[in-house]
Amino acid sequence: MRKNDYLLFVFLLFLTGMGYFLHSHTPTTDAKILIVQHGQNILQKINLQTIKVPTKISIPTEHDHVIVNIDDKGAYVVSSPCRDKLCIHQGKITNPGQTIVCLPEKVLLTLTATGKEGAPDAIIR
Amino acid sequence: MKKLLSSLLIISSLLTTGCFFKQQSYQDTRFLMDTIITISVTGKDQAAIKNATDEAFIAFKEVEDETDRYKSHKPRDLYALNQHNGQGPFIVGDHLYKLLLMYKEQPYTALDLSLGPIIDVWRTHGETKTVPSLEEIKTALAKCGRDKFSLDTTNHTVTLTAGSNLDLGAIAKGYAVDYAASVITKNKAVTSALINAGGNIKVIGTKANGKPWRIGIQDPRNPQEILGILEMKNGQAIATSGDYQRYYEVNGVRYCHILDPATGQPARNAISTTVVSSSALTADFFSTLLFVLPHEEAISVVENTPQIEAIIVDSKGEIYVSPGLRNTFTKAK
Repeated sequence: MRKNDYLLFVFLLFLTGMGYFLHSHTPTTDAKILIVQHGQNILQKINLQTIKVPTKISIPTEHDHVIVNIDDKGAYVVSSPCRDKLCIHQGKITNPGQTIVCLPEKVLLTLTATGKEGAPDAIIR
Repeated sequence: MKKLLSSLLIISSLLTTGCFFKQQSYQDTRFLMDTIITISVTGKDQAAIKNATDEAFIAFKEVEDETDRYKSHKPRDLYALNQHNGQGPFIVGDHLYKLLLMYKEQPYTALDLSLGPIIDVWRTHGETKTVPSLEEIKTALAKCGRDKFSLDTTNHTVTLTAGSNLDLGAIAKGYAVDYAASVITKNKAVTSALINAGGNIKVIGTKANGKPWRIGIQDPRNPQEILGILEMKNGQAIATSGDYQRYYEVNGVRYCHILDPATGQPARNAISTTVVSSSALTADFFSTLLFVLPHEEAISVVENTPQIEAIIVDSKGEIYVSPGLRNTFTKAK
């Protein structure tokens, strides 16, 4: 092995280490993402940072529509055709891991955060 | 030498693009067992972990079909068994039999699977936001009790007395979570998984960053907040029972879905009970039991049952954390 080969070897080794270090330490954004699901289908993934004014979204269901208000902090159900209205009573979700479930209408709203250190992996209800 | 350098170049490229160490992840959510179930899996191969998730959902559906008392799914399911009340022994499916056998083997009377008649009374009144009369409750309670059904361990049959009706809502989801977890762990491509069935969660493996799983426990009186965060490790399950998920109110009084078998009334000794165990079924069973029991009795059960730890929020909002969780539970600020 020639001297240049050794140099190349050391250089590649350095490159390898740097690549892994950079990959594992890449800073991530801290955006709140609202995932809107009906049944098994994900209808929308909304980055709440992009919501500049409170916005209504309408989720079509079997019986009518579930109406959800969203802003840059979180989301809550405004109206639902379900009988018990537990989804409305649940109020606003603002923390990553929180969900609003409307079982009769099969609607699920989940708040997640990208790169948020310390956020729970799930919230037990 | 050239071979060595080429290999190093390939490894280097893989590392810099993050492909070499990157775990694949997959998540799916479905409405089953009258709740929302989310399964998140990580592993080495995308197709394999998707397959593991699909199989886990099939496991949930299998248990749902056998334990749903409102709809007929199979010839040997709970619906069929309840229809057979007063007509002698009935052969039931394996899941249903295992659940009933487990229930019969435990000594506690504050959790009763034969409450179908009284659950139906409250369910009907819940639709019209009314409260049943004492007479209605008394009549329904007469059809309930542990002595209203018996098992034949040789022939795997169940016999219900006339008018009785079983409801497995207190334990079926926990059993299904364990069953789904066993399906997932059989798949060698899976390195970690989180099964979240609303009030029942089980974790498998450790997270990609090697840190413990962090499970938030909902504040029972403030849905926007959590009581705190519990750190969980491989194989642990957690279940919560509370009066805030399924209830209705009449004149400002809350009527929740968990009933006290002794009175036929909604249980009011706690507002939230959370149990941690290695078995989701055990966690589910004890979270309901502790919810029904008077506070001191509930604590005594926790202290005398080595396989469980618990967090209980009593009717005054005071939080009890059992000694085994004091190092892993962090109260929210």
